[in-house]
Amino acid sequence: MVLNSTLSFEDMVKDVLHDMCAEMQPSRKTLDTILQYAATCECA
Amino acid sequence: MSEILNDKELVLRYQNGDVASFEMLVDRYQNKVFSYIAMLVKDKQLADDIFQDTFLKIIRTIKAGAYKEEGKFIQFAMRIAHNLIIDYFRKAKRLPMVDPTKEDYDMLDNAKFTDPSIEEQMITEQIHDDIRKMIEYLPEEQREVLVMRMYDDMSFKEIAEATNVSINTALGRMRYALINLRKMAKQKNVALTVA
Repeated sequence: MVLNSTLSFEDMVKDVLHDMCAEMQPSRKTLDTILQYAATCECA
Repeated sequence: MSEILNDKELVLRYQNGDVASFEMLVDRYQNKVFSYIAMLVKDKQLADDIFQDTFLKIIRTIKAGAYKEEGKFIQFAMRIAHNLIIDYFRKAKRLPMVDPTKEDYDMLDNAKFTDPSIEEQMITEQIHDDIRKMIEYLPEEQREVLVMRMYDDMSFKEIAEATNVSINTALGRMRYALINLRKMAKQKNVALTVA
């Protein structure tokens, strides 16, 4: 398979990596747990 | 709070009891930290657990007054995430490494489009899909540097500090990641040419 592109191989890997990573988010439940802990932590 | 505060100011405000400042830090970096973890452990639930542990440790460190503004907040967060991932792999006793020269290394079997009439857009999508698979097949230490460098825009000095290796080792891992990706592409006839 050949793709004629103005992008270098490295640029293409970077694009794909950005697509992959941009989709990844922690769950709402995990974020809520973290923020609740941040609000109540008495660990000073 | 309409002003844009830098990380150091947000940490300071949180230390002084302003929880909203910590929420802003989480919001600012949740994608970078989570995607880094998820790209390494390749399991959503596990990534969630390690992400949570990372931020709980960050909270305890800040609240204890032990956070040192020696680098960027993201470096500090990545170093904690990196250490927790290493702990997980040590406990699970699995450090999967991939040998792309193996005969059964065949994750690109679906890359067999040869019809010249296929739209370039379709080819691009297929190649992107193949590159995703190739990235997932990289050894973890190479995938780690690839994500930190190409997605998180960290310098090799920052990567070296976050992963506790020398700058030369970080550079070497990046180099081998690209070499291995090219090797995999060549093995599966995914020829990426520059016009």
